[in-house]
Amino acid sequence: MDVACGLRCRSALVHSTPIPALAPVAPFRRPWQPSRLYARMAQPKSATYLVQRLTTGDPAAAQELFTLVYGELKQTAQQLLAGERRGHTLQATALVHEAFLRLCDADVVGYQGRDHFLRTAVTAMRHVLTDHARARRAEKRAGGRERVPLDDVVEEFERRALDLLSLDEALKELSQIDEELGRIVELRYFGGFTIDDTARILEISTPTVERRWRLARSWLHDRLKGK
Amino acid sequence: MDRARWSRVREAFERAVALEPDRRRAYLDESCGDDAELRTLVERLLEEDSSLDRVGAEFLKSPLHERDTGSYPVWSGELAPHSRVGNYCIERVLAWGGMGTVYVAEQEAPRRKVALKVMRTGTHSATALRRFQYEAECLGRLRHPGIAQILEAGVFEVRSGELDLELPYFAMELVDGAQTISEFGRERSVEERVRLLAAACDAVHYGHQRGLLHRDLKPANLLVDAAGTLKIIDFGVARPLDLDEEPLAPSTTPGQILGTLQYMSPEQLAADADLDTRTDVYSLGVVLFELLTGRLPFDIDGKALPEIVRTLGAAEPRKLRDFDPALPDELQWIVDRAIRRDREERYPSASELRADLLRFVHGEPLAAGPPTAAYRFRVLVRQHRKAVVAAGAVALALLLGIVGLGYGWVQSTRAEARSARRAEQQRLLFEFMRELLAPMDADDENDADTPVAALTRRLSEAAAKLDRAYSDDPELAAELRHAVGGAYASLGLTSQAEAQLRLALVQLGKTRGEDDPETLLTGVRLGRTLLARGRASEAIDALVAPLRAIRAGKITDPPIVAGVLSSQADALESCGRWPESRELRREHAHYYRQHLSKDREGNAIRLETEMVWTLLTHGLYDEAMSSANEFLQREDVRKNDRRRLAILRFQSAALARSGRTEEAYNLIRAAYDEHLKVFGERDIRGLLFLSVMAECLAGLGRGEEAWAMVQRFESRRRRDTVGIRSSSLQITYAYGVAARALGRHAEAHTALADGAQRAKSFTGDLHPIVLAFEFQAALAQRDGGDLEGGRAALRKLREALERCTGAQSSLVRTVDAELSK
Repeated sequence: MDVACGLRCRSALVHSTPIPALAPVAPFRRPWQPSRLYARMAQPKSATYLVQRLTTGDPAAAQELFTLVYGELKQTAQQLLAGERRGHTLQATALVHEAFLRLCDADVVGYQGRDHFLRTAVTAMRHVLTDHARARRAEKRAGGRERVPLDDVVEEFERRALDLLSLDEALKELSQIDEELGRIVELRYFGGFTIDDTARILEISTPTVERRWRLARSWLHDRLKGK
Repeated sequence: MDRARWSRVREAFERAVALEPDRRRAYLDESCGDDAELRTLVERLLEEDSSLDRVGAEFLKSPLHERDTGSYPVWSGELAPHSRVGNYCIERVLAWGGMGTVYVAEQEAPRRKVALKVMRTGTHSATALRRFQYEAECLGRLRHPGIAQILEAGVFEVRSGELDLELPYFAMELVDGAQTISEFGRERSVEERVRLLAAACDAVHYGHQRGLLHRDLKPANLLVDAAGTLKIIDFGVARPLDLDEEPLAPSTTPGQILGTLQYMSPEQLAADADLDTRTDVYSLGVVLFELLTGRLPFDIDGKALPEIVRTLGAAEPRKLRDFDPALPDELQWIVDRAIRRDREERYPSASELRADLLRFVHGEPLAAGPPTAAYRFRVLVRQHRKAVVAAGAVALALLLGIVGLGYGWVQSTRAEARSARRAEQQRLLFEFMRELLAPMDADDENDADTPVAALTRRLSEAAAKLDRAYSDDPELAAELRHAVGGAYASLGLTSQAEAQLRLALVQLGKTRGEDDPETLLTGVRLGRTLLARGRASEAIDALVAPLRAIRAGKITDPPIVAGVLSSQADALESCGRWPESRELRREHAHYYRQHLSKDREGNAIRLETEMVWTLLTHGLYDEAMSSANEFLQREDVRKNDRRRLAILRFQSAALARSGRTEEAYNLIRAAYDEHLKVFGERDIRGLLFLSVMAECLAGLGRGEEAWAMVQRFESRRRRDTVGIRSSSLQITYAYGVAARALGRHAEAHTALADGAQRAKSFTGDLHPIVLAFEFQAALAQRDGGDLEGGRAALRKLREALERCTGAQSSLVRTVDAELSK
């Protein structure tokens, strides 16, 4: 209940506060100023609390955090893309980092907390995208629909001859066989994290991530080909 | 597919994929064996992998991940004075850096001078820009007096040829009258320089706590303002430009790289993306080296780039002493620990480095460096010089006792050098000791207590609140209790010592285990304390566990082994188990010979020669004589005057007691003359020779001479304070024997009976020394006229001796001879 309420308040806030650097002011951009940042950071952050619980090994916190981050990402993804010049793609890494900065008190949760957050955030990212793809498909069938910025992203995926929804299905299957491989794909593909970042977040070595990423990729490709 | 099956697939794939393609088949032949299904699946996956690895394969190439292709556009222009950037008006160029140019600029509102860093590399996409914004936010949140505050970050557009570039900029606090840390440090004392670096560590640590690495710490980024305050600039600035995948900005020229390479940690040089706080610790270590010597730890002058990288990656760093022999070892240890190649061995954080730097400034023991007991002892003595002077030997013994904890400690230090908790415990232990000793160093000692009394009082206060103060760490509490017990023992307060050591033993057994060196050492101490309280049989019990551990090969640390063997030998001897005791002493001497280093050879010789004394007091005169002769042949004994003369003394006593008094007298006279020649009149051991001489004279019936001699050393004994109980006992013995020879039986009996009591109080009823006193006392009693009392005492003594030595021993025969008179 608390979470939902916090989310609503935050959404209002996010709406009324454009990300400063994204409002183009030629020839100079309006600079970002710490004082304004502080005003925004001063909001109570239930995410901080959730991440702390997650860090101390409370799995129930993950679901709550997911809900929170999902809302946040969906909002910002749409917003950011709206301000984006055409042809520029969404950078998921920056997006989840920003979500972290907005939702969490970095001083409180620290490095470890950030990684916990990122893991959850990337799962949320995946759902934002696949949910959107699903909604799009349904609405297409129903006909007549206003175009939203996330469409660009989904189209970008599909332009690469990849059906997001089948991938999502296959990924679910893979996660059931080997949860870690699922995580790796999520971080690399839906989070846009590098091998090194993935290794850090999952707390395994870089060469291991590299090998398992190749395994996961091969498995998924094999799987999708068969369909 | 079930999990077990999958994990086989996964393993086979992972192994095979790491091999060259042509070797994979052989591997699969071997690992899959007959499992054709497994093999087919793995092969299919490997095939997929090869096809996906081909250039152009797009599968799972995330559009979310791909960075816009192409290199970054770079702007090489320079802003003219009076140009405007955002809210700022450029005044002049302050510095050129690898990534951009720093200008002095004036801000409009509030009106102030700032340092404006304009990046050379443009961000040409909104995503990169957003990234910059994100990082800039983090930087803006850094507020520390040691960090030049980032006031504002923004982007402005310039036109460069065809391109519109968006260049990021930072407005930073302008450091007034800035000098680099090395310029500033040049004229300062070592202490000031160390403090300066400690301040830098503090600021760096602050940044680390907020999740930011500096990544480019070097003197040029460590500025000191006009007020002498250290300010770090460019904190975390290396990252906002989205350069995390390219450690160096593309526009950096080779010269600039060289200027920075020296300060980069090996993992940074290896372009390892997984950097952590320890990379900054390394850089701080290099800066410390430079600050102290004006030079850098690696010699790269005149070398080519590949060679430089090799040098930095493999060569041993130079030593501080190479440039300034006056710099203390401690600083070398700190530098060493900060710039270890393996980051696991470095200080884990800048704050740990800072703590050690401050410990150096305050003259406290460091976390870095060889944690030997001797080193810690030196530091403690230095810190408590006043206490040591005031309380003299007692404080020294106390300190030794504390450090001597030591043995268990040093061992665990080696084994657990990497355990931070252990280091913390040791630090607390020393802190505890320091608190204990601190009042003794105070200049205005108000209370009239003597230092020893004050110390005793503080000890009991400390002991009383130990459990409460360290309730969260019972292991540490137990160790402290061990230390307190040891200190009590050093002060001779054996009952308090016993209580503390017993508690410590139980607690340590629980927390560290029965076989832990610390636990065993506590057992040894308890054994010794019980021995000193005259409770030898309990001492034997206390020493059983340590002895068993030695026999099982579980403790091999020479000092502990030696301590256990000798204590148990003493305890057994005190309980009348003389033969067992002799065996242990032999083993002890042998052990020393085998295990202790050459510089401890003196100890081995001492133990070996003391065997002569043991044999002598056990009444085994022949054996004593022959082993004495054997020793006197030995090269190492002959060269050691003190030992050689001691053996001659033992030999004389053996001769005197086996009835060859004349020979004994001649031998001891010659030995005494030599002693005077070698060690002079003033050496206190001379008394031991005189006492043997008096014994001989008494045996020769020259009572007057014996008495005169006793008077001589008695008066001297009163002048000098003979602290050694056993030697004062020996003098008492000689005094009694001489008095008896002169016919002063009552006087003799009083002295000898007193001697027996004193000997009992720190050994046991059946110790040879006790029995020797009782024998002489019984004779004095009998000759003084109490025939029955004397005979009864002799009969009792005979019984005791029989238990210790058997019915046929020379000692029993001597008593029998007296009984038949």
